[in-house]
Amino acid sequence: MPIIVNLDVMMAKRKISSSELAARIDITPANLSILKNNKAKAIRFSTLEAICSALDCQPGDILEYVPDSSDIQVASDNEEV
Amino acid sequence: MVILGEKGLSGILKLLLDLVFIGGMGIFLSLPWSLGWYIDTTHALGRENYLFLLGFLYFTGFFCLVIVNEMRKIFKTLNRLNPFMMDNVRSLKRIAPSALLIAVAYVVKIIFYNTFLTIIIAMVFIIGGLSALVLSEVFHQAVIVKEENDLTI
Repeated sequence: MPIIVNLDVMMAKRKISSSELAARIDITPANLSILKNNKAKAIRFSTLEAICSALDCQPGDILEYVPDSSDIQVASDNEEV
Repeated sequence: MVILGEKGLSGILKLLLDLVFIGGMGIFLSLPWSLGWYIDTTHALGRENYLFLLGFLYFTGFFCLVIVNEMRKIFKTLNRLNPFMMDNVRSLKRIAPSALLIAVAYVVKIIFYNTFLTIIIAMVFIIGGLSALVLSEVFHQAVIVKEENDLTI
């Protein structure tokens, strides 16, 4: 999946533990772990809002788009055409 | 009335299926004797049909036990309130060919020993087998949606 969740970076910056963040945004530690380990398939706006509020950051600070190698190949092929 | 769970309707049905499975297993194992006893007691069928009926009942009985066993597995997951799992998709995919094979056996019986009830049972198993195949795909779609939902945080 080309969307990377950089939650642990932001959590380290704000010096907040997983269990504390899970309690603040009212989700289970197991679900937070799924999110941190990039296993999640989707994130609700309400969860994103709660995370941004708890960590005092923007969605862009947590989510990052990293193209797959196959995506880069397709893009370069399109440019050649 | 509670539908799902150990104390619900699915729990009662699971118990019923357990009894059917145990009873069916007993009849299956004692078929050579129980069929002979049935023929001698009722006189509804002649002794000349014994071998055909024995083979027929062994064949259909085996696949019936497969179906009952798979249904027991499905009801066990219903009792745990977690029916949308790949095991149930596999169970339904096993039920479908079993039911269709039983239907084939009954179609053969229609040719040799036709009764009105045989035609009805053959049709029931054809419809049941095809329905199990469709249901397995429905369950498969449900499992995909559930996994997607479980991984939406």
